[in-house]
Parts: sequence; C-alpha cells; structure tokens
Amino acid sequence: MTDIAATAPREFALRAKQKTLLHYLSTLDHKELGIMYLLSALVFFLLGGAEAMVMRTQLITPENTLLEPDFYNQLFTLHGTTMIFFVITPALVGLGVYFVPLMIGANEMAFPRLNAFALWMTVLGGLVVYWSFMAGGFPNAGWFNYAPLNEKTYTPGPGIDYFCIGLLIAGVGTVSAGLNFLVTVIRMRIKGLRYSRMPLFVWMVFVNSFLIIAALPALNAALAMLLIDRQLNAHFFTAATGGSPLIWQHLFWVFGHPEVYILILPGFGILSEVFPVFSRKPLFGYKMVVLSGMAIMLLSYLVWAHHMFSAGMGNNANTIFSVTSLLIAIPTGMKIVNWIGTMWGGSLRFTTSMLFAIAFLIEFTIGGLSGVAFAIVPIDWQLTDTYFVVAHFHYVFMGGTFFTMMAGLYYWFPKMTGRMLDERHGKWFFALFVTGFNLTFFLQHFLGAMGMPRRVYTYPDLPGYAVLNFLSTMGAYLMGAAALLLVYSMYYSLKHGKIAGPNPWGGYTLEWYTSSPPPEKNFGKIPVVKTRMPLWEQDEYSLTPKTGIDD
Amino acid sequence: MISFLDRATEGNEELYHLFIHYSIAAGAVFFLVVAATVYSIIKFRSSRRNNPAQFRDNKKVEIIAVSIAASLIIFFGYRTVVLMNRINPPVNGATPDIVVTGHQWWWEVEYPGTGVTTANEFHIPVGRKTLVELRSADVIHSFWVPNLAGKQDMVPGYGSHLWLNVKRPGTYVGVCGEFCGQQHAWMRLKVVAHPQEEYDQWLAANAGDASIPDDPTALSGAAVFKSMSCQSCHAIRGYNPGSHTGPDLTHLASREYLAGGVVKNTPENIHRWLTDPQKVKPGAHMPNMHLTNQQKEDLTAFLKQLK
Repeated sequence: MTDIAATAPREFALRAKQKTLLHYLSTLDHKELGIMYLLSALVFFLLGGAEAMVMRTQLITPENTLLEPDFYNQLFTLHGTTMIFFVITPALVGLGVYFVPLMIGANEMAFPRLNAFALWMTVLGGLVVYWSFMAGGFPNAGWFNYAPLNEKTYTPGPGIDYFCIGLLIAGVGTVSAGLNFLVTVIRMRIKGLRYSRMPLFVWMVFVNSFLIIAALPALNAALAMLLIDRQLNAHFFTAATGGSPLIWQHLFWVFGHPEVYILILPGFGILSEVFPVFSRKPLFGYKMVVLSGMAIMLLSYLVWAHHMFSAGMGNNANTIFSVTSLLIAIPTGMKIVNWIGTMWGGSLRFTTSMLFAIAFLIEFTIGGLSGVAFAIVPIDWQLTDTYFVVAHFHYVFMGGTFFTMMAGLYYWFPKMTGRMLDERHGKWFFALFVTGFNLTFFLQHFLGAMGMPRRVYTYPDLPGYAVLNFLSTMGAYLMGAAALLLVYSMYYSLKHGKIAGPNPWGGYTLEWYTSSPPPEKNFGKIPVVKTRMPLWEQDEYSLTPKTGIDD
Repeated sequence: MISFLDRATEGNEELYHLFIHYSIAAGAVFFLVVAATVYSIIKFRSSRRNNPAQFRDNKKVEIIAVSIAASLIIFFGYRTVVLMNRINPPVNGATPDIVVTGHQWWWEVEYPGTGVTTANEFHIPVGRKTLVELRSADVIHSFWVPNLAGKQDMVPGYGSHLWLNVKRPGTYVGVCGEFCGQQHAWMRLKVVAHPQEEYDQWLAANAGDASIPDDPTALSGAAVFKSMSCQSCHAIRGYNPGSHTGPDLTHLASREYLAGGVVKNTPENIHRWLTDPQKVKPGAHMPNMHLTNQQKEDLTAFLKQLK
C-alpha cells in the first residue's frame, strides 16, 4: 500500500505531462473536469482580485482622479460578475464534480458528456463577458444591472449585450451541472449508501442542484428579455412605453437570492466534512444539518424582494418579505450550533483546513447578523446600497463561502494531486488573509453607517472617510499578497509537497479509501458501505477515530 | 457628521432605539458564538484530549437554540412591522409639500403651489410633518439623507414618497442611494431645516424672480445666456422661462455647490464649468458650448449675482 501511495503522485504528474491539449479539451473524466473547473475558477479569481485591487487603489484617497468614472463602473460590474458567476459557482461545482462520484462510490458522473459540456459552457460564458472589452467596453451597470439603466437609451455600449450573452451561456452550463448532480446522486450511489448515510457534502450539492435548476431560468429569461429590448427595440423594462423597471428587479432577485444560497450550501457541506474529521468526532446533528439545508432551499425562494424594500412596493409586501427573511436565519443559525457542537468534546487538529473552518464560524456569524439587520425594513432603508451592504456580503461570500472553499482546498488538495498542500505556507496564508479580510471589510460597516453609498468611483473628504478608506485599501493589499502566496504555495506543493498517501487526515468518507490521486476508475476494490462513516465505523477498514491514525 | 443614528427626525429617533436593541441582541449572539468557539479551541485541542466521546447530537441543545432564534425573530419581526408603518404610512391622497425628481446626476426640487423650483439644495421646516414626493426623470435614483430618513427609490413610472418630521434645525447632506450611471458618485444633495418663520422667509425669497443685473458685464452675460441657447435646458424665472431639462438657475448664487456637489459654487468654478463641463464632471449631460473667454466671463458675472 505504501509503495503505491508513494508512486501515485509521480505517475499522476507524468501522465498529466504526456496528455495533449486535445485530450484536455475532449476529456470526459470527472476528475480532470473537476480540476479544470477549479483552474478556470483560479484564473478568474486572479482577474477579479486584480480588479478589486485597482478599485481599492482608486478609493485610497478622497477625490482621487486615477481612474475615469466609467472605467471604475466597468471594474465593479466585472468584479461582481466574475466572482459570482466565474469563480465561486465554478469552484463549488468543480469540487462537486470531482468529489461527489468519489464520495458515493461511483466511477463517474451520470452524464459524462453533459459534464464536459457544462464546464466548457461556463468557461465560454466567462470569455464572452471579458471579450466585451475588445468590442468597446466591459459591462458597466453593476452585476445586478438594474433597468432602465441597462437599456440602450442609457447605456448604449456593447458591454451589456456581452454580459447578457455571456451569462446566458454560463447559465446553460450551470443548469446542466445541476441536472447532472441530481441524477448522479439519485442513480449512482453504491450499494448500501442510503440517503440517510450520504456524506453531508453530497447532501448539500444534492439540495443545491434543486436550487440551481429552478432559480437560473428566471435569470436566463430576464437576460433574454433584456437582449430583445436592446437589440430589437422591445420595451419590457422601460416605463415610458408601458414596460416596468421593477419587473427586471423581481426576475433578477427571484434568481439572485437563491443564487446566494447556491453559493453557500456546498460550502456548508464542506464544513460538515472538515469539522468532524479534525475533531475526531461524528457531526453533531446530522439530521438537523440535512433538514436545515432543505429548509434554506425552500425559504430562499420566498425572500427575493428583501432586495427591494426601498423600491416602494408598499408596507404589506415589505412585511411578507421581512418575515420570510427573518425566518431563514433560524436554519442558517442552527448550522453554526451544529459545527460548534461537533468541536465540543472532540480532539481538535488545527490544520490550515480546520483553521479556515473555525474562522468561518466567526466571520459568517458577523455576516449573518448584519444580514438579519437588513430584514428589519427600517434599518434596510438606511443601510441598503451602502458600504454596510458591501461589508455584509463580503462577510458572507468571503468570510463565508471563500473560507469554506479554502477549508476544502487544503482538505482535498492531497487527494487531487497526491501531495500535501504545504502547511507552513498555509498558516501564513491564513494569518495574512484573515487579517487583511477583516481590516478591509469590518471598517466598511462604519463607512456605510456614515453615509457612503456603494458603487461610487470617488467620495468627498467628509470626516472619517479618508482614514477608513485608506485602511480598507491596506487590508485589500494584504489579501492580495496572501492570494499570491497561495498560488505560489500550490505550485511549490505540486512539485515538492509531502507525499499524501490515501488518507492523510484520517477521513471517514469513501474518497479516502482509494489512492491519492485516485485511479481512472476511482476504486481498485469496490468499497462496502454499512454505516454513515464507513472508514471509521466498519471494522474491516479499522480506521476508527480512536486509533488516531494520523498521530 | 453624517450618521443614520442621528436622531434629527422622529422616524430616525425610533429607528435609533430599534437599532440599538437589535445591536444588543446581535452582540449577545455573537458573544455566545465566539465564546463557545474559543472555549472549544482551548479546551478540546488534541494535545489535551484523545479518544473523544462519539456522541452525535443533543436534542436539548438543539431545541434551546431553535427556541432562542425563534423568539428573537418574533420580537424583531413585530418591531419591524410596527416601525415600518409608523415611519412610512400611506399617503391617502395628501398633497406633497415638496416634489423631488432625480435626474442623471442632479436633483430637481419643486414646491407645488409656490412656484419655487430649485436644485440639489433645498429647505424644509422644523417641527412639522412634511410630505416629500419622489419621482425620476430617467433611471432609478434613491433619495437618501441619512440623518433624516432611510432611502426611498425613485423608479420611473412609479411614485414613491417620504414623510419627514425634523426636530432640530441644521444642515443635512445626502447622496443618491442607487447606482444610476457614470456620475452616481456626484449626485449629492443638501437639506437645510429651519424653524417655520425662517422657512417661510426662504420660501418667499425663492418664489421671487431672478434679480435683473445693473452692471454691464453681467448684462452682456444675460445676453450670452439667450444667444448661446442655454435656455434650451435651463430656466431663470422672470428672465427666461427656458426649460427644465437641466437645473433651474433662478437663485443659483444662493447654493453652496455646483453640479451635484462636485465643486464649490465660486466664480472660478463657474468659469471652469463653462469652459468644459466634461473636465469637471465627466459624463455630465451639459455639453461644452465652446464659449469665448469674454462670453465666459460675462456669463460668470451674470450667474454669480443670481442670489
């Protein structure tokens, strides 16, 4: 066993070198596709991150003239669009594509061709959005692209047309991935792996696929309508000719709010794998995590108009959406209880993966509590569309989703490459990133409360604005440096990382049963599943947490 | 200082209390999470413990947590609904005291029945409920003066409104709260709240026509205003009815800022603005009229005396 473990990563590297470009363009292997999803997310992450650095540089001092206003508007539109559609979504889908089959004991996704199609549509969508620059300018009306600003009358450039087409293409990819997950989880589970024994990551991807399939079409419809408005002079969203700008907002957020949960549910799944393994204890409240995931899925369809409290819908409509939005805090808050309960009484290992998971608990709680403030309509009236909201959703997407992605990256990198992702670099990366993150975004809560709206290319020198913005920019640079360290560390670890072996963390799910990286058909010997945590609880695998196999 | 926690209006006063109560509740929850996390990190690290007990849940803890969350939500849900209806009750056909229209990228302010029209800076009385009607001339804008009230969007094709009951005289600044295009950043506004008598004086002064200049430079500036077709966008009451595409200039000299707050209203800045608006505020809908230097000086002299 040890011999195979030692040679697998080298063979993997060797095989990867021998493969041609054509091989990667045409591969149907879920593991290669998963890695390509992650690589494409990494490339777009570096682009979106660079955009953020330029924006923060513009805001470093009041009335800065470094950037033209229109270019700044293009940058924040691109930053939001990139991070949501071309970084977080593909990264989470990529982890799912790689690990869902492994965790359910399958050797492929249900539809390998659809899987490849979904990846390439996502990549193509991103390229189309970025290609707009060649055609005369990036989209510049914000990622939620409100009507009628998004109409040709007010924004004649081609950017928004590319935005529509790019997101439509990527949307087709994401829906395909959602369908594929759904069928894979229903049909491809190995014998014995009942729903009640399914790993939480698989559960959350499964629940998520329902969200994807039902939410994305609303966006795609809105984008098609907007394209018809812009290219064929229809008037879905123009008030003067009988259309309604509010219809755009409804359609967009009917997609947009479930999307927020699409971006966090798989992250909840990752944490529910990481916490038990590094606490040497089963997950606290398995049923509660599954049920609260389903509750979030259902409720997330009923909260969209909390993005529109100031749009003048009237107090009755506001009441309904306020109540549903408050309700969704219950299942979300329960998950925090589940993860702390998992650590409680355990035997904690502070790997980089676990550090990100623990930091998530704090950051996500901040983001969740500031989020509940927005369900309180009069508070929302004051703080919506300000830097307070910018702070809030970065605490949710970065302190939340991104931290779970980092926990997942450090946890699964050894499985994907056969080598450990350097832990010494990892701790530095963690310290730098968490410091930079909090410096950047915590201060923005105050800026918002002090009247600074979001999406402004500059601001007057009002009391407090200059110093808070300066510190916020410094925090952003710190995060930028940390991100470069991570990229270097991945490169370094691919060449010189410690050989991982099949199960470096002493995990209990099936992906740890096979070699790292797994062979083409995933499992040399078909595993048998009789419990929720086969590698810990089944005597034949004898990896019970009590034996402390990684000590 | 700009802050939504300023209790300058009745609405903000009540919001202040709700926000403080919510902050206390949120702070308590946050403290619980941090305390439990830190305790776990210290107490349960692997160097201290091995062979942890393999328990899988604890119904009691789960029920307690859900009950705490649910009761907080019932409490704040109730407070939300009550306060929302107090701050923004229905209009029921009342006529607005002030109509504010959002334009890319400035605010038009009218006082129905008085003939007063101004831009970007306006005045309201203290100690009286004032109904502000909000409209848009182009894209969605959002009226936001944090010290006075939360945002209300101006959505083309829809009307919205805001009740203000200012308790304390003073000057309050605000800004457009919804991204509205290239110069969203420079769509700022200023609201001055006076006691009723001062407010009436201001209103009477602003209902008057523009002053007719007596010095010759300003007089030729007035001629430039006509001959260079400034009136196709701007109005100067009593002098030229003009149009309302751009800001009303009748009492321009009484305003503190130009062009949505981008520069102070000084003769030098008026001159700069007339030279090339696109340099001062890129994207602004005022074109460069290519005036001669003499025309610019005359026009500046005319505009700066429109008190």
